[in-house]
This record gives sequence, C-alpha cells and structure tokens, in this order.
Amino acid sequence: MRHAVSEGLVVLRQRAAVSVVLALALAVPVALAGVGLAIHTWLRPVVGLSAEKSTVAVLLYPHVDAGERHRWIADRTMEHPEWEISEVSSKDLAERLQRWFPYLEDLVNSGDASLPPLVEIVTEDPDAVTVLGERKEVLAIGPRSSIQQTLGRVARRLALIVGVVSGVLLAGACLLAAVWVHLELYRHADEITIMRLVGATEGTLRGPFLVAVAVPGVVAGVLSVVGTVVTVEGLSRLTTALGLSPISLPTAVLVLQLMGGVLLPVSVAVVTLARHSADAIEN
Amino acid sequence: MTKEYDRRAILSALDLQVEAGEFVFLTGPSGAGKTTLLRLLYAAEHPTEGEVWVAGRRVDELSRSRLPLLRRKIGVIFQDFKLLRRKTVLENVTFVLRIHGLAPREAHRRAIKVLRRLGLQHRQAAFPDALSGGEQQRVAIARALAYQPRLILADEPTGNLDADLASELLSLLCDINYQGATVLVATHDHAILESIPARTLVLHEGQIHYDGMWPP
Repeated sequence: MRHAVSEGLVVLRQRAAVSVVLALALAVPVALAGVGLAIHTWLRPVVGLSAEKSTVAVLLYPHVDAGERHRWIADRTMEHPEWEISEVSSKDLAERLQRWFPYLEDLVNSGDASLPPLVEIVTEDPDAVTVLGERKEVLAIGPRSSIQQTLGRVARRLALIVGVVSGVLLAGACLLAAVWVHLELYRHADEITIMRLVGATEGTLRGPFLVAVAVPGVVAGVLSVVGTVVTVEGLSRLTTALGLSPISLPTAVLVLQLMGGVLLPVSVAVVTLARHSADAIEN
Repeated sequence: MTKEYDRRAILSALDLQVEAGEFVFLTGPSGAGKTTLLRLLYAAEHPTEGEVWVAGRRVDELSRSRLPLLRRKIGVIFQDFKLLRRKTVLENVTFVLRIHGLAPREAHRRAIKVLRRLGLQHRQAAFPDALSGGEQQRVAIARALAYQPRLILADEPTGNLDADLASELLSLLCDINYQGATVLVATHDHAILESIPARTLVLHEGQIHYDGMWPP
C-alpha cells in the first residue's frame, strides 16, 4: 500500500497537467449530472403527470342511438385494445359536458333533454384519439392534454438531455483516463517488466496507477459537489424569486457524486490494467 | 525440453537435472542457448515442448498469479542488470526486499549489509545511470542476493567486473552455495570455470555436449 501511494504520487507529479485535466474532465459531467438530478427531483411531480394516463372526451352526434353507441364502442375497442372506452351515464352527462366542452354550457343549462351522448377514452397516448375525428358519428373531440402534461413532457425531455450530455462527457472523461493509464503503462513498461521478474505481484504493479487515477477522482468528486451546491443554490434563488418552490439538493446526490468521481476513473483503470496483457508488457 | 523461435530450435530435446545445493556452471559459445535456459527456469519463457520443474513445481504451467511466488525463490542476476532507473541503488535493493514482505526498517538494514559486502555502500544514494558497468552489475548481484534465495541464476555475472571483483563475486556465490542455495552460473569465461571445481555443462547448438567437472 505504501509503495502504491508513493509511486502513485510520483506518477501524479510527473503528469501534473494531465491529472488536473482529468480531474476537471470528470468534475464537469459529474456536477452536471448532480444538477440534473436535483432539477429532476424538483420537477418529479410534474414529470410524473406526463406519464399518467389521460382521459379524452369524444362527443357523438345526438342521432346516434343507444344500440349504435354500444356497437360503436365495441368496434373501437376492437380496433384499439389499449383504450379504455366507456359511455358517460345520463346522470353525469351534464357535469361532464360542461367540464370537457365549456362552450356547451348554455345548451346544458337550457334543460334540453336531448343532450349529445359522450364517451370517455382513457389512454397513454391522447393524441392518437384524434383519428376518431374522421368518423361520421363523432361531433367533436375534447382537449387532449393539460398544461401540466405539456410541462411534464418538457421536464422529461430536459432530464433526458441533461442525462445524455452528462453521459457523453463522462464517457469522454473515462476514455481520457483509460488512454492515460495505457500510455503510463507503456512509459513504465521496462520497470513493470523488471518488477515482474523480481517477483512483484499484479497488485504491487497496479497499485500506483490506481492511486494515480484515484487522486484526480477525489478532486473531481469534491469539485463537482461544490459546483452542484453553488449552481443549485443559484437556481433555487431564481425559482423562489419567480414564486416557485425552492430546489432542494438531496444528500444522496452529493454522496453519489463523490463516489462517482472516485469509482469511475478507478474502474476504468482496473479494466485497462486487466486488459493490458502481461505478455505484451514483458515483450 | 525443447525451445524454438520461428521453428528454429534454440534448445533441442534438453534433458537436465540439477540437484538442490549444487553449484553448476553453464557454458558454451554465444547463441548456444544459455540465457534461454535460464529464462525458462524463471518462467520468462515457456518451452515449445517438454517440462520445466523448479523447486518441485512445474513452472511452465504456473498461473500468472503463482508466478511471483516462484520468482521470489529465485535470485536472478541479469546479463543486462535490469535495474530500476528511477530508483537509487539502495531503493533498487530495498524494493525487492519489500516485495518479499520485509518491514521497511529490516529491508533497509539488510540492503545496507549486502551493499557493504559488495563494496557499494558509498554509492547507495546514486542512480543506476550514474554508475559504471561494473557497479551496475554489483547492484544487480546485491539485489539478487539480498533476500537469500534458494536458487541463484546468474547470467554472465562477471562480464563487467575486473579480475579481482570477479573472483570476489565467485567467492560470494560459493559462500551462498555452501549455505545451501543452488547456484547456476552461465558464462563463456573459461578462467572462471577453472577457478572453482564445479559441475560444468557445455551447451552447443541447443544440446548438452559435456556434463561433468571442468576441465574435462
């Protein structure tokens, strides 16, 4: 362990610039991922709405009688088994008509008994219901999404974009770590060969390289935590000023960032060292 | 055992047994296969055919994880020294002792002792590149002897030493052999062969041409 630390620090001193670049390259995506997670947590109630099933109201012509309605519902259920279609009972009809079609308020309040029949379709894809607009029995189709659902979709896309950008940047940082370890292995190939010949174990040989990537990893973890705290604090002030709830930063996110900062480059180094065949080094 | 490179036999159907505690010279012209034979013994090479056994273990079938354990029983004096350039003379020796599990203080004590024995105590802080060929060779010898291995493989150990130092080294190897270690010295220097009465193997074109005391 002492050998690994002392030799690892020697490698770090010799490659100080690369170590700093590696630390920053890791810190930025880890911080971005942390901010993304905090925002996603903040938006979770809204994001959840977009994933829920929606109800779309379909207004039929008044001349479509009960028998035709039942057949129509049966046919649509056959065509779209993913839909849950039900007819609104006459008891609830007035209230539902006002809710889905506010412009029919006068008709509803007139006390006319011949209100148009209404069916409700529960679906995960409300936009697909528009296809019914072409059918001759259909008078009108109600609103297909609420503002919350639209916001939810935007939030989900935002989270996806932040996730993808973080992932790409992290992959780049991991590639940098792998290339660095690879180059250092070749730079120290003679030493590694000699150490093997005098009885050094793989653990003794790999230790310094693991220390050399773990230290920038720790620095990256700390930097990313600081960056995330500062950014989330700033965003939270902004949302509060806009009258929205403040953004909270879960402790788990910070712990994940610290662990990710260290474990990612160390895992990459472990894989790179394992792949670097001893035969290739011993030449 | 047989060892081939590009279908050219370096060692051909070699059948050799060295008993524990023996002192053996291995000689022959350049390219006879002396270094290859030593490399097979510390498992830096694998035979093309046949088996290599060291200290009761078949070394050509050892897994990578077991290899360090074998090599810790063998002290190898390399022809090209194989010193760690970034470490001082003292660190080159202590490093090996630390690998063998010695505490830092004990490793330091033993390294100083062996360096003193080889007349290198005044050069312990120097880096290998600052040493003469003879000094580098003595560091390589110090490193191989420091952990008192059961088997010593020396590849041209006197190649860079003057007559006095060469004689001193042979005397050192004899002492170690007397204490129970097996010593195998590859050399093409006939003066050395004649300085100590010992079993001598003459290799020629990958085969043993002579096995007995020297001179024949």
